[in-house]
Amino acid sequence: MSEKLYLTQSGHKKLKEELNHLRDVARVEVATKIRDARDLGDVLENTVYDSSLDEQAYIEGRIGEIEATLANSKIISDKDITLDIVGIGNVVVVESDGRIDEFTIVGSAEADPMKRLISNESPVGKSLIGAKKNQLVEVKTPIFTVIYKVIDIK
Amino acid sequence: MNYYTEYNDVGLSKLKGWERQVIGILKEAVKICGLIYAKQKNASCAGGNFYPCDVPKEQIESASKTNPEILSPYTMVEIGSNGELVGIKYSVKFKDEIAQMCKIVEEVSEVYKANGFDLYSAYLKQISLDLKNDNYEESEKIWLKIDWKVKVDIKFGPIETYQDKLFGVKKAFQANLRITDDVDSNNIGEYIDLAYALADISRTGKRKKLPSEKNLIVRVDKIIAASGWHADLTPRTSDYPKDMSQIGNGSKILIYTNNIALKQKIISQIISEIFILSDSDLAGNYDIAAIRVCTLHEICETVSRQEHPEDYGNFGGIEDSFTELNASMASIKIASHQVLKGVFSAEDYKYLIIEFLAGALRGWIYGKSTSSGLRLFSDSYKVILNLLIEKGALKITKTNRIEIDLNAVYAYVDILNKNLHTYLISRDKEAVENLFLTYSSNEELDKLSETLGKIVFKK
Repeated sequence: MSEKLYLTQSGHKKLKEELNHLRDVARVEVATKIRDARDLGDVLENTVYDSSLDEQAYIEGRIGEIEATLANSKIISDKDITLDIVGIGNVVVVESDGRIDEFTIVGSAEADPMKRLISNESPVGKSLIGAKKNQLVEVKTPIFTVIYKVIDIK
Repeated sequence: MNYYTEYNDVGLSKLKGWERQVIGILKEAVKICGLIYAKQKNASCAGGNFYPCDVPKEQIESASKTNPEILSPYTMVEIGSNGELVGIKYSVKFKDEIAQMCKIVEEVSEVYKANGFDLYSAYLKQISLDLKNDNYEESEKIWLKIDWKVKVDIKFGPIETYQDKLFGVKKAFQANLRITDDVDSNNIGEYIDLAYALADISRTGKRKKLPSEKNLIVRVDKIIAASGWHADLTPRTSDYPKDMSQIGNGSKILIYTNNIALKQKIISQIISEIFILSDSDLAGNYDIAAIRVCTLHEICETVSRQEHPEDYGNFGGIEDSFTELNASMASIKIASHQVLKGVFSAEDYKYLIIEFLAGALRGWIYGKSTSSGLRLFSDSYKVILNLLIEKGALKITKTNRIEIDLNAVYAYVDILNKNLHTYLISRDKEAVENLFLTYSSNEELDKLSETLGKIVFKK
């Protein structure tokens, strides 16, 4: 992981919590499941055993991913967030084509568009970073371009 | 023709014994729906067999003023003993078939109950009552609440009006028997939530919680058996309820992954043989694009219908075609929001548009060549394709292939999307009729008929 990642304080806290849960709870639970499934006998025909192994692989992969993210990320603290220009951690209200939209710009590790957390590396995030209130911003993709107006920075 | 299709390659090994047992029994109910459908369908009459073929539309309309049963969704119209038109209820006309179906569902209802699925058991019991009473509101209400934890699900009875091209009111019998696809449900689940979360942004400005959003259920299934219109041409997705009056009770989107895969073979061939694309574009991931196209289309249709139930009701006979056109355009627009927000890449968006255009070509030629209900989809695709050809976004070459200008496609889709939304909220039926009329010609698209026909209709 060469590029620096950004995390808001709440994003950092959430990842730490997830990591602790995976290390202290999920790891133990899945190990128990694997042991119990093995005790049932023939592991070749044992679907519970197979799915538990898959789950274990996922947990270990996720632990590695979060550890790497935490080790390589810069935490954006409240004092880094200003209301003058858009940056990571800001809630941005924009208008495009007569439609209003509101979302938070976050680092890619905590992006979750369903919860309106948009990555700083997405086309919108990239273009809005550094914009001021009332500024018109062009968001370009290879197929289309959309103009956003920054209505508010929170 | 019995209008029944069975998909034998769907694996049932992960199901429990009782679930496999009910599938065997329920297939019979699906077959019976196909038998009734065969009696209702008649390709040589606009009104199928729902109305006497030689009675003029005006006469039926006039008779319905004194006898509303004539235009009920659940009657077959016949000439009575005194020469007058009468509406015979489905429960009377198809009494024997319905009795067999009721016996089956009552039996299966007990099996579900014995295995702890009380709500599903109640649904089957209720549908048995509804079949006898020609009123399906109660069973639909229960069915809309059933989630995908029920592994084996059946939807059957009189559902869609596509076969009544005279008035568009008579519901033809159809059925589909499905099992939940756990793997795809997990894979697609998150994307579905996301698509739904973004879908209404483009419509209403600020994100608005829809009243029935909590009741939206998306099932990702594999079809085991289908009958009626679904046997004729099983779709890749369906959305319910069909009756707008039920929309307050929730919405359900069904995504049939085995059918997406089946149809994808044809669409991939259209992409490679009709479109002029670079090698890297030909190698794009169109399987994922297909799932995105189908999912977004249904979500946009559902969200829009939830938001504007009364506005849609104003479009009369062109409502279905308009709904499909609007959903197609909105889904491409929503996909562009997803690109902007980093959900998927601009490359993926390109594949999505190409996939959509190939699907539109397939839909156009299928609808043009059959008398099936696909006609209404075909009409909407014809508008999109003709408009893009007229504007130069799609160019048909001398060798009858298509060059795509993706930037122009996006631009005109965006304009059409905005216009359609304006027509919807202003209930401008005339503007929509004009749009369908303006782009109703098959002339340009017919240049592609030979190649497309070979791909789509090969056996």
